[in-house]
Amino acid sequence: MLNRFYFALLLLYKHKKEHSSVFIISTFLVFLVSSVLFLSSSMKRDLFATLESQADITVQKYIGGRVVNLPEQWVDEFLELPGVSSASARVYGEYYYETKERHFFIVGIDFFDENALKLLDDLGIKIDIDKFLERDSMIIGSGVKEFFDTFEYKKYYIFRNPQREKRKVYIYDSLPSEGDLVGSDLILMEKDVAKEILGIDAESVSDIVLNIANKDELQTIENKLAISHFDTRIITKQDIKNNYTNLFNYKGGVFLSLYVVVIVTFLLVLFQRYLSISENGVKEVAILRSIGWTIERIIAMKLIQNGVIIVWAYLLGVILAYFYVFVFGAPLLKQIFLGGANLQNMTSFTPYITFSDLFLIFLFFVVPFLLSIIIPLWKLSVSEPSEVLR
Amino acid sequence: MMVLKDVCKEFHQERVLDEINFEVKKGTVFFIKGESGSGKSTLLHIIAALMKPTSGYVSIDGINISQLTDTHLATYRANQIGYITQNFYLLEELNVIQNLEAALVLHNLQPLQQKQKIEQALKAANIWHKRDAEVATLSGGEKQRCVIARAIVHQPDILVCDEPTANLDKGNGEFFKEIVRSFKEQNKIVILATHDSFLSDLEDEGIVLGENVLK
Repeated sequence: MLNRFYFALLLLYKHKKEHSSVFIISTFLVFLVSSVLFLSSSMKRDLFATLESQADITVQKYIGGRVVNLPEQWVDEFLELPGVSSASARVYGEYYYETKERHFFIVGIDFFDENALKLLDDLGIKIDIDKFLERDSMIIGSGVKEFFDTFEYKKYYIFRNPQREKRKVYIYDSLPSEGDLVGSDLILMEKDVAKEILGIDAESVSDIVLNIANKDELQTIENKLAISHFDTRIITKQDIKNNYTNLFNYKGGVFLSLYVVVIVTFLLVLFQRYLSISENGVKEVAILRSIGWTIERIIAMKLIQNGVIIVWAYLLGVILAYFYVFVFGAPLLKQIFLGGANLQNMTSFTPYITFSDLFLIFLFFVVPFLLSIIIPLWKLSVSEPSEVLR
Repeated sequence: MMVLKDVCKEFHQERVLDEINFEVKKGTVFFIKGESGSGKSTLLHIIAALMKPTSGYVSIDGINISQLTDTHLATYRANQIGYITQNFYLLEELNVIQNLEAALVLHNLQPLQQKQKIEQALKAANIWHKRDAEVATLSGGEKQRCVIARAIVHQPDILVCDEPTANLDKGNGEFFKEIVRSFKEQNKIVILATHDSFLSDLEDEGIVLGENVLK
């Protein structure tokens, strides 16, 4: 039968028109902030997870402020350093498609190298190596695939090396779009084919990656590398992590502005609500007080009513954001995060939500919202009901 | 017993009530009369604990209600006062029964008991047939009867009435008179501010504001 909760909901239902605009605005704002938080958390997690599988040290040759190719024979030299558990040469570079001003990122792979196989595994690729090596083949990112499809390159693509000589490479498979965050513009091919297309000498590679058996030895190994080759640049996994963090901080700064705008908007809505307890609202409070309701009981009723509104708005906003980001791939918003991509990025985001994100949103919205209800009611409580009922 | 002692009320330094003194015994129908603007409604608000006097006090059975805290005043209004307002202060978007439930929700009654009280009050005020109608759709007379039903549904000790028959026809006026008689029989107090001579036969005692003289 009738209890306070029922009565609060009854009045909420009767005032549904009055509350619907606040509900819609609140839902939208929660949706917006949640989407950004979900997107950035998911991307950050995916990027850092990818980074975890990277080698401990990357060695590049650095001359005159430019990164240049280095001799492949250094691999054997590095393997002899005490503490180095594995060393692999990498071949990569950008291939420029002049007509459309697009570039692809070609990575040459030694299919008998442990690190290369690990990379393929990380990207979710399973290949029959014999079949792959039967002829010049490549695995392409989904952005590249879409681009090739546009020009009817369904089975192969003809590259040109820096000397303008043609090299036909067959499409073996494409990467799943889940890996688009790092692999949309990626082309994986056999190392020697990649060298030819990118114009890298047969004896050279782009860089060399090393794994260290004991992580405490990292600094020692770095020192040894620097001594053995003074013209090298040594990049540790931590350096890359720091770069990613800086990138996210930059993006975070951009979105901090968005948060500020959203929060200010929300506060304006609350302020408007604070100022404009409607004439009917004031009358309702006075009537309830005249029949014996205490101001505490009225506040409790209003808290129930508005608690229902904001909790539903919060839940709906979060659920909508979840679908928007993780099911529909965050159209529009994604472009802000991945704005630098030169090919269509079809990436989908791994669902990843932290309790702290949800709690932060809850705290930002629910607490000020409910305060905006309580304060004007307390103001009303200092006046006598007769002031309204006269 | 209700006692008003030296009750004064000022608005913006203008004195509306000036040293009102009277006593009302239980089982009495007490009339408050006076010209428009003489302060009848203000006095009723003070008796109904909707307003505090600037000076003086109202006591009920020896308790000075003018000094009670807001919470205690709310309890006093909920338990002891039934107030029939001249302007229909009802929750317009609710139906008639729900308006009465708003008053009864404070009393934590069993559902059956609550239902019986509501039925009893609505029948006494002759508005039972409109029990499910939204208040906003009612006529002036029907709203007045809804206000009367809400004022008596919790069976208060003091019924405070501000022009209760202003919107009622003679037939419904008789229903109201019956309610007043019933209160008197139950040894309760009825305070009535009215210009309606139709109710004059109910009067036991009274005061004319502006003259401050007991009849």
